[in-house]
Amino acid sequence: MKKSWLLKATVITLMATFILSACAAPATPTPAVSATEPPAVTEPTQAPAATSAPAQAGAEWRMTDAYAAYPEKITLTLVKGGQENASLLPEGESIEANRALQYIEDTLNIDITFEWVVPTDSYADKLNLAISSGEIPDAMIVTPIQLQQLVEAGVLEDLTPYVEKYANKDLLENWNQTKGVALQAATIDGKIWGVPNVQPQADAPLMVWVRKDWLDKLGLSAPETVDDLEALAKAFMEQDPDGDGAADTYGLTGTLQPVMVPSNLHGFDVIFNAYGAFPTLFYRDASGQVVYGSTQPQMKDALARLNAMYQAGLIDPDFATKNTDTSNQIVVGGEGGIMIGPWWISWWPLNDSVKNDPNADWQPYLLKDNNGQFTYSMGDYTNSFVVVKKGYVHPEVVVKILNIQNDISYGFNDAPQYYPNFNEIWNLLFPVPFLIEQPYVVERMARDYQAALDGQVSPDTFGDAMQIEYEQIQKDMADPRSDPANWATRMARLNAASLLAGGYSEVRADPAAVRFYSVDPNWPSLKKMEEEALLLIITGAQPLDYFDTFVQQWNESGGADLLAAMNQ
Amino acid sequence: MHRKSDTLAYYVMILPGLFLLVAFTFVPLFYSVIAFQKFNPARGIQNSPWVGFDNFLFLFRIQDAREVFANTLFIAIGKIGLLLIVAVVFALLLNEVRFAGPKRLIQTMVYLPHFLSWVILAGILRTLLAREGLLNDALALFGLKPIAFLGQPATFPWVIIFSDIWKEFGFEAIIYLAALTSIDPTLYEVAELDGASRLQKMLYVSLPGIAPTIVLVASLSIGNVLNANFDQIVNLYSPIVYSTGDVLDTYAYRVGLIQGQYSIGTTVGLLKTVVSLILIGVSYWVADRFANYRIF
Repeated sequence: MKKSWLLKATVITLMATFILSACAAPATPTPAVSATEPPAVTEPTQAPAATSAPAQAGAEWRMTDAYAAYPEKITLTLVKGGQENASLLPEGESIEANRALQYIEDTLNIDITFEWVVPTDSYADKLNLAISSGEIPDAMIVTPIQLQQLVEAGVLEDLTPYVEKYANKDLLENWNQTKGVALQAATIDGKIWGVPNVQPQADAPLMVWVRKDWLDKLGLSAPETVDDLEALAKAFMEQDPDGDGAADTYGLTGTLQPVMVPSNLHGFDVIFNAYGAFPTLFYRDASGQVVYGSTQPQMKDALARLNAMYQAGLIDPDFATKNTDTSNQIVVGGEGGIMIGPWWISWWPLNDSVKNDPNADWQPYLLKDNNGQFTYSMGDYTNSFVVVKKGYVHPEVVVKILNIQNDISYGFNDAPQYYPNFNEIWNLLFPVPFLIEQPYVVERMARDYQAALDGQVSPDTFGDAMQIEYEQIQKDMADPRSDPANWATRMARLNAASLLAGGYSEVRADPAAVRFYSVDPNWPSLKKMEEEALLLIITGAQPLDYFDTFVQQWNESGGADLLAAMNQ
Repeated sequence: MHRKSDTLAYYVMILPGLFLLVAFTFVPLFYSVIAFQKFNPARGIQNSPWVGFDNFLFLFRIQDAREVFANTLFIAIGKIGLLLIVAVVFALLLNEVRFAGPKRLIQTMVYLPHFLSWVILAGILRTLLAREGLLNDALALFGLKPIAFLGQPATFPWVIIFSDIWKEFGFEAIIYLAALTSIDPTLYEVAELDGASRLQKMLYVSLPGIAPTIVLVASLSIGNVLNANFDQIVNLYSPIVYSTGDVLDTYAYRVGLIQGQYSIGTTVGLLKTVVSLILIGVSYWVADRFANYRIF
């Protein structure tokens, strides 16, 4: 059940990030290679690599560290998931042999082979098995916990000398935009052990989506604060906004997971944020100490507020036992006019609400905190790493591959863009399916769309994917909600993303924290204690002062030790 | 007298099943050794550091383990005890129904839920037991306040127990119905001659007649007192009812598979296996002693 929305969230985020290939691309002429034409492959016998990618041979960038071809052909073994989607590739191409892969191999004069290729479902298991049996490939993508375990086991190559030296300016810029956090996440004991990814950040700040048609009907104004939100929930419950003569509408929806960063549908995170509380995050406070957000005193005020709203019936009385899908049914079925969620929920589930009722004019709003600022809990910049097996002689090659992959995505350095359905198949084409993205790409695109609407730039400068979206936006502006898909794109890309582009303050977890708590044997108990306490207090099953008991218990059950370890 | 070649065929037929049993039950047992390690997948079983009984001592120390153990016992024993009573009473009552048609119809209806998966039933129960669900609507008719059956620690284990009994009692009753048919009819005739009423026949003929079966079923279920039914609970629980609804299996699942602490998760599982093994031993001894039932 949970899986389905996670999947959708992932798909949407990937869409979001990949459409950017278009927006970032300067107006490079598309290489004259049709989809059916076989790739231009040089004879493998023709050894010297510098000449093997003929089109740009001699180009200046080619001589830099980031791209220099190897004088002798080198080999690299990798592993790969996604086998079940291989049919999406053009006829005659495969995960092991396709034009993008060939371009990378030719440019660097390397030979990439895959030790195994498996379906997406079994990839994680297979990789775990490979790791625990010591049969790891030359390079692979790992989680922060696996990174920690592999470093501890001493089976990785130290990448400190290579990452910054061989990364091209685009990757360096994207890492730079994380204010050093990405590389810091890859650093253990002062050494960089993996190449960090960068994820778009827009998913974390939660917005309040409200049915504007109901707002207008009741003559209310858009919510700006938690007070407004509460008044709105009350009005929607009591004043019959759907006009069926019965008090049958919900106020706020929720789920059994009131806090989860990022992308928490029906989450209360934003209400905690309004009180200066940042639950589930190990962040550095004003004094520079790592503290745990869920046990900070500000939590108590936020919990008091949520409890008051719950007691007043403004929150779905059954929220604590509902999962995302169940709560989605409330908004999709027209029984609720408020949904808290990230910028992309117009694509799902709100599009279904519009399908059911074309009058459902959902609009996103950002809530200010109690100081009148926009401040939100943020997700991690980095959640995976490319690592290299100890003893592999050319560790820098993974960085070089990532350079070229980035070029292919964006059309930089005349990298060929062979594939019209690139957004669908990029992770099959690339030997290392891994993204080092611009962290604020969603916001940037919103500015681009707005600029096009204002006539400041021509949409012709956009790439294909962005042009399609821009058309959708225009269509919906001409005839709102006539097509839920067009409406969803307009709301997410323009209305919601523009709110984020307006700027906000971030509170984010210390990048090293995950390596401490995820291996702490007390962590499962601490997590359990926390999840339980929050729900018990919000629903009033325990009084507000139970929060103090929880904090004390949390500290005594290993929480204090955990924080001490992090602060050492 | 079987010839050797006959029996050989049977052994061959068992082989695939035996192979699966070994591959998926016995082989994984050896990997339980990671309960005695600080297991790091990157080091593997060979190179992970050994920590003796540290993981066990850790579990004995934390409050979670006690809570989860107590919840498991409460839910499992509640289920076993009540299921036995409900199934026996139902079988006795159904046995008194004289018309074969309605009897079969009722029997079929009550054992149908046995074949539904908990994923489906959980969805139905969630709807049924919601604040605005059917059950609370019914309570409202009597002027009672709505109850969050699945959302409060006090009611949750009872929902688990009763929903499981509702699902299983029809199927369980089949054993007793079968035992009832094997009671010698002359006993009833004699009782009738002595002027016994229907109730008396039920209490003094039927019930003693199936007593050995009841004892047998009861003793064999001792081995299950640490099985609170993972499928059912994982589909119905939420953090708010952890204090009464989190059981050994759900805890091991969250710790080991969701949070990736393989050693602790395995330790929970191994503890459960060891205790269950002892209990199964006890149950066979009891079954042998009181119900004259032997499998070996």
